[in-house]
Amino acid sequence: MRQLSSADPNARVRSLQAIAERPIADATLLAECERLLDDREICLVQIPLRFGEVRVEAVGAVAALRHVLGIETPAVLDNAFFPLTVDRVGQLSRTAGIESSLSGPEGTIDKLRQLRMNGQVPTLTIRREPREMGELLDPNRSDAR
Amino acid sequence: MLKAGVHRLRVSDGNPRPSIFFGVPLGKIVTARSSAPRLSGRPTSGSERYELKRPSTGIAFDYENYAAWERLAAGKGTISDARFLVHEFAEIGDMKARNVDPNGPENFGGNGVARDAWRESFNKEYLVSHGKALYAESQFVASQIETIAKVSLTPEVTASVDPVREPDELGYMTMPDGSRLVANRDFPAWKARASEQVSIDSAAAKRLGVNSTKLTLADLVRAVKSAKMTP
Repeated sequence: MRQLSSADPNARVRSLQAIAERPIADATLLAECERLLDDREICLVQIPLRFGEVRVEAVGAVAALRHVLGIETPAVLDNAFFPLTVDRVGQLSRTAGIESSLSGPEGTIDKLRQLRMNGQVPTLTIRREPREMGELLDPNRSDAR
Repeated sequence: MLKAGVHRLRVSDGNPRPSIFFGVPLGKIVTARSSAPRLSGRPTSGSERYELKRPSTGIAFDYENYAAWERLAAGKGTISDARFLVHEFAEIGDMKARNVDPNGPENFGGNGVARDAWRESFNKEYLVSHGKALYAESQFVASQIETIAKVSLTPEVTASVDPVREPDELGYMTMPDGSRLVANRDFPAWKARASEQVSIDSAAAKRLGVNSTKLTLADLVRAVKSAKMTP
């Protein structure tokens, strides 16, 4: 639970991903994860390298927790984007004329922040059904129903 | 914990790439069934089999990798496709050499403390190995350029003049001394060689499918990367 409140976005992402894989039927934990559906900080979220907002990782965790708690309300994010590759961030940045003095992950994050601020990242509605997450869970390793 | 096997996600939520996903780690190929591949030569029957074997929480299986593997398995792979294998083997090899577990929490069973510790350090360790693997890719492409076109280039120049590679990706590449390629004082000079003219023989031009025996270094790298692994 403490990790979900960490100042480090990578720690929050790691926790959300762990929860999505091994949800436990805990309403307090669900409330914490639901709070992170508003977390728009950008960081490295996946390997091979993909960068995105923390809140997109929260969708999976919330849907998985809702599943084990028997709540069928889908987790939904509006105006969101799926995590982007280094290539994609580079392409969008060139199109938008955005540059960064940084390189490596710091440069990619910097460019993605600028792109988002300017509304230059294509967005969509992301919807995750608790039932779908449940189908991906191993009943032997979680509280999955 | 996800069930073992390859997971397919529904894409109704707009995800254009069905084989990847956040919150749902997919399988990563790390197991060669037989001997290591001989990437610089003609594939040997039976030696090019790989298996999508087990899920890894650490590394997802990306669509681009999947497509490259499919083309290689069908005998239609390009040198650029083979880079994926070079990259993976270099990356996994470096992690193992540094005692970093590339497979992730699957191996920790129910040990939550070990799993959390692994999660905390893995991204950082991965970036170290990834930077080295990008350099290994360029070594591989440089070796193919030398074999096919008889033009000798360093991995640094090969990477710097590469018109196909996303420029931002260069920012992740590390040299053998651990420094970033783009931070090297010679990087601007390496990059400027993209327009340098080189001559190749007619057999190489035919192999590469180009009409001229005079190419810029950028065009040479592009042609070699798009050439089939086997003529």
